[in-house]
Amino acid sequence: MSHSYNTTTNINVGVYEESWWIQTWLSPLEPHRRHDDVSNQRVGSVGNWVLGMSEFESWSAGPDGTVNPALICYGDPGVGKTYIR
Amino acid sequence: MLTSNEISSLVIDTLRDQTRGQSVAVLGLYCDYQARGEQSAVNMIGGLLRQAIWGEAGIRGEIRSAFNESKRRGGQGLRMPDMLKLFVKVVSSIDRVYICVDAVDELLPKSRLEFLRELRRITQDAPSTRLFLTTRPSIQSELVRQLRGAPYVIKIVADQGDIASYLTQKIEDDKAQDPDSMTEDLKNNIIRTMLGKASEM
Repeated sequence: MSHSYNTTTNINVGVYEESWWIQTWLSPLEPHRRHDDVSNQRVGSVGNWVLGMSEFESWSAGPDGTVNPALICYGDPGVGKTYIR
Repeated sequence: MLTSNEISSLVIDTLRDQTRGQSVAVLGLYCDYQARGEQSAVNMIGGLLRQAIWGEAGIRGEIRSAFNESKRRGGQGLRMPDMLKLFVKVVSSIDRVYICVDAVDELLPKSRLEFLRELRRITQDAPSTRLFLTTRPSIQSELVRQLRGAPYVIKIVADQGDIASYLTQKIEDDKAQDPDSMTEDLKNNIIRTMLGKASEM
């Protein structure tokens, strides 16, 4: 009984490890880490106005083929700095 | 301050919340000047592909065979044409795919041009894909040119709500250090005054 349990565990670890190797082979980048950091540091309702812009709504919700697929947001890094510091 | 990566993370989180349970993938990348060496175009598309297959029960057959094939040839990474083929195949099986890339201006110029060209090709080959890009103003017109057509454009500015949020946070931080120095009245006064100043500019 304990033998078959060990066998199952080894197979699962093997599958997990292979999947990890393949993912790392696809790309060494791990962007979810940066995302979690930025997400956790975001303050209050900052930037919410972007989500209400008509450009954002058309871009995110428009049916395929009826809207341009790209949305570009541009601005100086740290806009609003002059008011606060 | 209101930074592009805050906007990007907000857009990513919002799209994920709104589409939970649907056949939708929200893929995010943050370009970083300090990581520009490893942020080549092919690694960037690979980073998107990793996220697109995230949470799937097993590795897809076509990816596994590409991996085994590369192992036979000595273990090199995928080249761009093969990477693109895999990526388009995977995202074509998803109803809607949002690709969000923060601070495109921080990539090496050569990587940036290649990456933008491939992103445009992806939106053509897989019409269910949408691109969200943030950048400094200096290369905004280059992005518009590279992507062709007329992409949507939003200028990032700090609005009054943003400024009030930051001020509140900053005051709360100070208060935590010295609780007696800040009364509720003083706090509201500061925020009102600062917002008044901001609207005069």
